[in-house]
Amino acid sequence: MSFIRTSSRLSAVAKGVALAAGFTAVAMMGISTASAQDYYAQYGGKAGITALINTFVGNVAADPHINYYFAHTNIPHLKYELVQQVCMAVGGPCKYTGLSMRKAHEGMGVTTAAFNYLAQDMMDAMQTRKIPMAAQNYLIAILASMEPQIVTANGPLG
Amino acid sequence: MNKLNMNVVKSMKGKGLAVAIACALGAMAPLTANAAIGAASLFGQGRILGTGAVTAIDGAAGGGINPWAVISGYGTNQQIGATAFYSHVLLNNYNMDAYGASVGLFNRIELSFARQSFGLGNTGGTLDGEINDFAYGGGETAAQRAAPASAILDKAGLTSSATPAFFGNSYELNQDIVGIKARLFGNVVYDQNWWEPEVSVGVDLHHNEMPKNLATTLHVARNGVSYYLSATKVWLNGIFGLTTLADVNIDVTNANQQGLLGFGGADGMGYKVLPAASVGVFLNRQVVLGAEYRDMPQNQLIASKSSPLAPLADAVSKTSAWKDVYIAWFPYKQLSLTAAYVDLGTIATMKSQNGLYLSLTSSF
Ligand code: HEM
Ligand code: HEM
Repeated sequence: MSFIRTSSRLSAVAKGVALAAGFTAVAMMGISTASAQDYYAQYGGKAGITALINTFVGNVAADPHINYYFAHTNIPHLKYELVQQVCMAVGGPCKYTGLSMRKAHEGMGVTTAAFNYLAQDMMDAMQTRKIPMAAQNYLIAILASMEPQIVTANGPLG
Repeated sequence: MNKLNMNVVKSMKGKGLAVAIACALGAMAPLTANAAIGAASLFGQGRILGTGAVTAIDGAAGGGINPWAVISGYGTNQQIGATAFYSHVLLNNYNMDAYGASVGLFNRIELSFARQSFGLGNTGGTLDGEINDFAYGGGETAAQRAAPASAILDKAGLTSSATPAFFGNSYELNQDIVGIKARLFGNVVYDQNWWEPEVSVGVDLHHNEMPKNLATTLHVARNGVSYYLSATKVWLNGIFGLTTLADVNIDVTNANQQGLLGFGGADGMGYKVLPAASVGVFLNRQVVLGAEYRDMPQNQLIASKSSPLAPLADAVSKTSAWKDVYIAWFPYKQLSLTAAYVDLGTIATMKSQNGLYLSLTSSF
């Protein structure tokens, strides 16, 4: 960004842009983000997370883009693992003991599209459950970063 | 976690695994069939809402004035997406229309086309008058007034066989832009645990349709090629926990006002390496608020710095960085609407060219 700062034609809007970028950097350093513990409460604790996962799995089951992946899945078990995983991710007193994400999805040929539809189903479930936006984004960012372990289907150009 | 719980986990896991293994063997056929269904949706829209961005004025996926590193449309690495856009810009002395379309191939390559029409309105006549006043100090004849361009050529000691007509009223500068963008690496959504942005390179091939005599008078080329490197980073959990975008571009270009006034100038082709940047904050999953900045090269139009026409040439050549503040709305993947307040600075002697920008992109 230094080349923007040194530009002699720096205008007010450019300063605004630079400032906003600076803010972003601050946000990245974690100054404005709540701690994971706060998010556990915002998810409504264990009960809230269980309700969220029920809504989520319901969304997935109703989503024609991806539900066929789960035709042979033990749903109660999957729900249990997801509750543990989300609870742990948002700082709750739980421990996820299921398979690694790579192992759990190995050989399924999960596509990027399937991953995104599942993410969308989760975002919709969070909206239904009225989880605050920052708390939603905290979890979505964690889930998004798992993509390389879950998506195994390549396209023609990578 | 207590023992009982652990046992439940173990037994559930055992059962799940047994079922999974049983099914994995037995259900090969349906799984394969379903995988085929997934792959067959070649024209699906498998990316997340908003990741196709809106359409920049040059036709590339991006903000309003800057292309971003994302590939247009909502196609994943196994899909082909497409978009069409229309934008209208209302400035104090000018207005601009742009429309076009793009294809995004496998979230890797973007091909775009845009046609821009920059309308001078009655500012064209005003410009003619100013040029005339400069050339003749206000004492021109009617015939000279009708042909101010030739007056400039005369004054500069140049000869012109034809008598070029200048702008007049309702003049339109039109240009076509063919763009190619290739994503090099990175993903705006999935790269959350580290700094790596999504990075693309782009090439824009411009063809300006201004008449040859106008190009000669302005001392510009009508065809130009500009290049950019774009790095776009999205923090899903960014500022105040809101999804936050930052984009930094490096433009390598000699396009005057993005090519609307041709390429290069009287003092050479004038390629410059210039910065551009955009930021955005998603207030929710559908609305993003942001700002942009794009530096512009300033070439010497009409006449060289050393020519007697330099004062006029300087005035016409004056260029400012482009800026905007925008709000974009993604009600669903098929549609986005953008409104912006743009400030393009000085264009062809007219100062403070700011106003309203409206844009619509539909994705398929
Ligand atoms: C960030 C996204 C995802 C997360 C966090 C996630 C998490 C999990 C977890 C915790 C399990 C249980 C593992 C175990 O049994 O120990 C699981 C299983 C499973 N996942 Fe995912 N998953 C994700 C994305 C996907 C996607 C995109 C698909 C396909 C559309 C998918 C399909 C499955 C299936 C079919 C199973 C059940 C495997 C079985 O039958 O045992 N998952 N996932
Ligand atoms: C290992 C033996 C099994 C074989 C060979 C088998 C085979 C199949 C086949 C060929 C289909 C049709 C697929 C389709 O229409 O897409 C199907 C659907 C289904 N199977 Fe199985 N299956 C087996 C075990 C199971 C088990 C143990 C469960 C329950 C946990 C189960 C639950 C289902 C369900 C719910 C559907 C319907 C999926 C849908 O309509 O989308 N299957 N199975």
